[in-house]
Amino acid sequence: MTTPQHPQSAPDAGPGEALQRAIDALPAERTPPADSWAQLQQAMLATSRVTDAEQPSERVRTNRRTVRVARLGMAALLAVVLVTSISRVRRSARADVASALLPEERSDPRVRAVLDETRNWRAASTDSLRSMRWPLEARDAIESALVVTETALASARSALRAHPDDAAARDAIVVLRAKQLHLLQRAMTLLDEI
Amino acid sequence: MRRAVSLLLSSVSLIASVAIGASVLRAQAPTVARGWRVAPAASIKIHAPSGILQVEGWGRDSVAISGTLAAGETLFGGGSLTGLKLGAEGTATAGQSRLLVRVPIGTRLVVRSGAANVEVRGVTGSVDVGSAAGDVNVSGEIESVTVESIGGDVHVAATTPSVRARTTRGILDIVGRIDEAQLTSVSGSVTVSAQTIGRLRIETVDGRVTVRGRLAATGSLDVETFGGPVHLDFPVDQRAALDLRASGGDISGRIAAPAGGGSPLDLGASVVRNGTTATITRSIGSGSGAAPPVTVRTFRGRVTVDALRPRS
Repeated sequence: MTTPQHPQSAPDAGPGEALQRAIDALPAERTPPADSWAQLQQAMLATSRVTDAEQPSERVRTNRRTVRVARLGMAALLAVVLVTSISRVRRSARADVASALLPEERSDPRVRAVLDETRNWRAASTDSLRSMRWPLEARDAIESALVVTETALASARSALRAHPDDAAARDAIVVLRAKQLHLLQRAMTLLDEI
Repeated sequence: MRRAVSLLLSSVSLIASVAIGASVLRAQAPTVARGWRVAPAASIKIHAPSGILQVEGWGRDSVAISGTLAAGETLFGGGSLTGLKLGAEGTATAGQSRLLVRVPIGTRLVVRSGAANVEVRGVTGSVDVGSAAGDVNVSGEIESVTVESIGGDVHVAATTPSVRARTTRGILDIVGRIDEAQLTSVSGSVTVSAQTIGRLRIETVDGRVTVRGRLAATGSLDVETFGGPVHLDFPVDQRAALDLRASGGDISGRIAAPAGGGSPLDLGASVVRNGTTATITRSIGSGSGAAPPVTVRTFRGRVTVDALRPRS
């Protein structure tokens, strides 16, 4: 038995061409010589390896598809859960603010102006085109400032509920609302300029 | 086998050279060097999205920009003799910009920064810096200073007739000789250390307020906080008409004994209480003429007034 020879191929010839050349090289006899079969087997082996590597089996493809679909599904589910929980938190926060307002605050145009501006801020923050260049640190600072002022407002309201004639608490509420409004207006003006 | 080894070696050397090439490219950020002729008191607006921006006043009638840009950013600039707009634009994808802009000292300067830290020195015209997230440092003898940073700190070391400064949660730190200032923060601390203070107004929600310096005879100090503590530190001979009110907090302090003799007086003895509100209305210091007013209003904060520092 002779040693099988590797089919000689051009540098850029693919395994498919090598297989074709090996088939062409087969003699016309019914039983080809042993070295021809060896060349054919070698070429077929090379072709099948490449085919396996480039085209995964049906089972592998199905598995990959399943994993991909599962990942997409999980991402979608996560997004839905996230959006729902955020909107719930925002709704509840808004409801908290509304329920926490003192009766005189509910009819105060300054309070309405602040709530409108807060809504504008939230809309602007989620507007990807408008807020594209807004640094996260700046947004975070604004959100943090809103929390600080709302906490201070809650404290002043609580004092006013305990002592309805507390002029300092009443003044503090007015001042804090004005600060919130100014903070949001300045922030959006500056952020739009960058 | 030899062929396989040589193939392996050439692959490794190719990967290494690609990696080295990439790092060299990264290290060599695009450099910029450009200039414009402008009038000595031109209006100049500079944009800096990220990195570090230094602006320096010089004695020439031109603007020169030099430094490096972050990958993804490009330089722009143009205008006339009286007005120029320049800076970096685009989104940084790697590295950070480091730009030095030299401007005529009398420039009316406006800077807008995204996340860039900004430093301005040696400009005598008006300075207006607004930053979304960067720190801002301004120094020199300046016609007027307006500084604002939403997410960063603000430091001003200047001799100036007017300062307007604002932070959200960043530190606000003012040093120098200030005729008139309005300082505002939400939760960031506000500190003023001035040789002479003219008219000073400070507003904060929860930030700590510290004022050190001599209040001019024609000056006034007005501090308003919600929960932030207030500490005023005057020289021993400071004259002032105190009007302090802490609605839910307390007031304390020490002032020099009359005629400089004996141990310091406890200011707490002057506190008048009405429910949870503590107030002090009295004068400190001696001499004739009207004493400059010092008004403090805080809802939950604590107020401390000391007037014991040696006269400067």
